[in-house]
Amino acid sequence: MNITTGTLVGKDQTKSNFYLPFSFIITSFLSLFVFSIFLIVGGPLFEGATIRSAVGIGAVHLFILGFATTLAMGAVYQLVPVVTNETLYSIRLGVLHYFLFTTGSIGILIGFFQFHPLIIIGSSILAVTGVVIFLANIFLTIKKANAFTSILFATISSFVYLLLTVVSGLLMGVNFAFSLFLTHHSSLLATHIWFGFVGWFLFLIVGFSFKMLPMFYLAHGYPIKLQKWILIVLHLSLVVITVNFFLQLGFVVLICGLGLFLIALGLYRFHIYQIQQKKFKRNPGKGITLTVYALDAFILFVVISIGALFFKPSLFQSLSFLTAISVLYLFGWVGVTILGYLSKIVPFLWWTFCFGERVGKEDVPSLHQMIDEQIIFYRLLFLSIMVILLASSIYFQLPMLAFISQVCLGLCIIFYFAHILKVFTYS
Amino acid sequence: MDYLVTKEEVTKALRKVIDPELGVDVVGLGLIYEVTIQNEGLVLITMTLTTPGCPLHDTLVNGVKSAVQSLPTVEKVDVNLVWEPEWSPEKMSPEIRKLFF
Repeated sequence: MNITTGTLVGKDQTKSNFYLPFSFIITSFLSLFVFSIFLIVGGPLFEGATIRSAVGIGAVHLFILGFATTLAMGAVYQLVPVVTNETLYSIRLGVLHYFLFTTGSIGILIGFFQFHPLIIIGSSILAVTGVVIFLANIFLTIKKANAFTSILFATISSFVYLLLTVVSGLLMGVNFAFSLFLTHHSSLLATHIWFGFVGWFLFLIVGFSFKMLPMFYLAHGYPIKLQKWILIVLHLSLVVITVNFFLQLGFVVLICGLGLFLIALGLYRFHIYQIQQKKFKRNPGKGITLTVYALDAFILFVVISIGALFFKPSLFQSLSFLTAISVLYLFGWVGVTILGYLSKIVPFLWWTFCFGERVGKEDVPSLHQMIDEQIIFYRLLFLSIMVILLASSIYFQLPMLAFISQVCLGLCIIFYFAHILKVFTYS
Repeated sequence: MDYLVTKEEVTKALRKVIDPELGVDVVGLGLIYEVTIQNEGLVLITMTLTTPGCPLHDTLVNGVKSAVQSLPTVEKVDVNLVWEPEWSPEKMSPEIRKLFF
């Protein structure tokens, strides 16, 4: 056997790699719990088939900033040292980022619930500072490792869009307070939503799946050429659509941008197929299987939406349509994908923390013993059905059904979490 | 010290190190490329992981060290982590491979 010289491995980084990601993950859990309670007892959020009230916007930001973004940051702190095989550039900067971003996010939420632009501006500055520190820390870690891959390119891209999302939100707050550039307010709002929903989440999910899916499928020898094209086309679609928001180049340009978006999604799905062709495990885990189904459903949803917009351009002005597709995208695809991955990440992190140092010395449980993935699958399926019901009732303007499905969605999230939290009973 | 540890004893100890995601030990997975017994209780393990940047990098390497270190006649364990030849599912033992397909 030809064995090339490797590295003699010494220091255990298990514990130091645990606390920072876990601080973000626990904070995100608390946010999701508060969000769920808010869905259950906070009254109807979708009156008039929109979510444009200050309270509604606050609730959406609680989900995006408090839960999804905070969780994603924790996952990046866990993933980047693993992918680069290098310690984080600075744990201290990570802690500073945690306090700045968490304080900023809480401030933004208070600002929304009270609708106070100055609180939103001040808090956004804290959040932006946190994101900049985070970006620098991750970039310096990647530079230290000298290991720039598609996964890391996607991760950095997603955080650039996150930064632009917070900056455009900050500019909107400035606009509200001082009326500096009123003509661009709608363009800023559209950019804020587009970068936040798509740039930030999609790049992150795509980048994570480049690493995680082959691991969960135990796939080897699959081609990776497509990865860079997926990211390039996705960037192109984001740029084309954003330029159109500001320059109003017309319907054709918008449809071209959406077409590019669909091509990027198609290439991404084809790449997953390439991974699946080289898989060695039949079952990557039920939660992960569901994220692949969710992607198929998402692509179908994009095809139908683009088709509907093509034949009926007035839907671009329909708030009930735009709110419904936002709900389907955010709580449906993004939510289900994050929660699906979480069903793997949480047991793994907890296992590493509790049992990592006991491996080889005593019997330790496997990840499959710590979480029942069949239960995860069904609970996420219930959750998905509630999201579809909620979006449908928003589109067809059925406020009572929207309220009932909103409450049920809150219950579904808690129902799902009850099972995830069982992981922590192992020690 | 009365006798040097044998390869069989080291391999038996290594079978206690389980990949928690796959539920299979590192020997059955084909992650252990070579076990070298050197004099004075020094054991050198050459191993790989299923993929570079495996999240279980530290855990499995330290598990291997702990398992072998627990043998009474072993004084020191060094783990040499290599990426060539690259691991592939074909490196699993046939009986373990059957569990996957």
